[in-house]
Amino acid sequence: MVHELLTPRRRAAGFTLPELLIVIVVASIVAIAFSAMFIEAVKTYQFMDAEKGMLEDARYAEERVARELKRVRDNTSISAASATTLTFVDRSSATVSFSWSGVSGADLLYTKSGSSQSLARGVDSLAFQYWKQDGTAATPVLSPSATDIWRVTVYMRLIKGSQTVASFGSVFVRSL
Amino acid sequence: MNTPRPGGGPANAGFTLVEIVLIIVIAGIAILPLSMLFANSSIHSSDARNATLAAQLAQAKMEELTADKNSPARGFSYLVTGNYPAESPVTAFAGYSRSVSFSTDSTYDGVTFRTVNVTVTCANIPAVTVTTWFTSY
Repeated sequence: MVHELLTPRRRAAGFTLPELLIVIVVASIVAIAFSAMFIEAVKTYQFMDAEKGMLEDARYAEERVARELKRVRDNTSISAASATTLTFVDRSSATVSFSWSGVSGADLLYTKSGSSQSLARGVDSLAFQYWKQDGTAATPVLSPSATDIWRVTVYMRLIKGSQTVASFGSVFVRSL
Repeated sequence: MNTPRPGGGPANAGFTLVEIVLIIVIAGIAILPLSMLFANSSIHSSDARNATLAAQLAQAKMEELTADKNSPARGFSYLVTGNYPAESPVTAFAGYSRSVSFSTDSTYDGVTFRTVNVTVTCANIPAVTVTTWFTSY
């Protein structure tokens, strides 16, 4: 035992503490640089995912409004037509309504014969606009009179966090 | 370059400064396009949205023309360039330009066919063009 301690041993072939420290420092610098890049990629993904969701909602809502509007019964069927609400009677004599409360983040609601469902989530802005046969803006004449609405446009902006997506649609209502 | 250590044996088998500099340069060249890829993906992340909106704006204009064509107050004769000036930008849509163009009419059996093109442009995306025919019938 004593003999062993006194005998000079060959230096162990490992890393010294300073070498290890350098490796750790260099490795962490590289990791930080890459994590910044990775975080950026994740943020981009989240941004695109939110945008994709809103785009889908907006397109669906625009399409749905356009298709439903083509089912307006006749020119005496429109009972409400403001910037945020549009109510009419369709070809199957059901009362159909599109409405938004005007509060940013509220849904665009579709109501048919009393039951509601959401067409788009998180509406930030919505504007139905009405146009006459001569192309000028209509201040809608409503049911029971014959309406002066010839075409309807829908501007919609959806919001999620700080992101927004805008969409626009135009519907020529053939039955009017 | 390596001076043999007093202990003798082969030259110390480590990296030389030149080798390390080379590695750094090569790694740098390799990483640069990678980081550019990320930067590009963020720049183009809005392209899908812009293209969707451009298509919607083009379709909306076409619907307006359809409404005009069918309107008792306007009709087929209203569909001429002068009535549809270019919009730059489109109202409420900054960055989007829209124009309507008409091709030369063709006539068949007393019916006039008019080709209409609605084009919407926006930065970074290809122009969106919607084409249709209207008849005087």
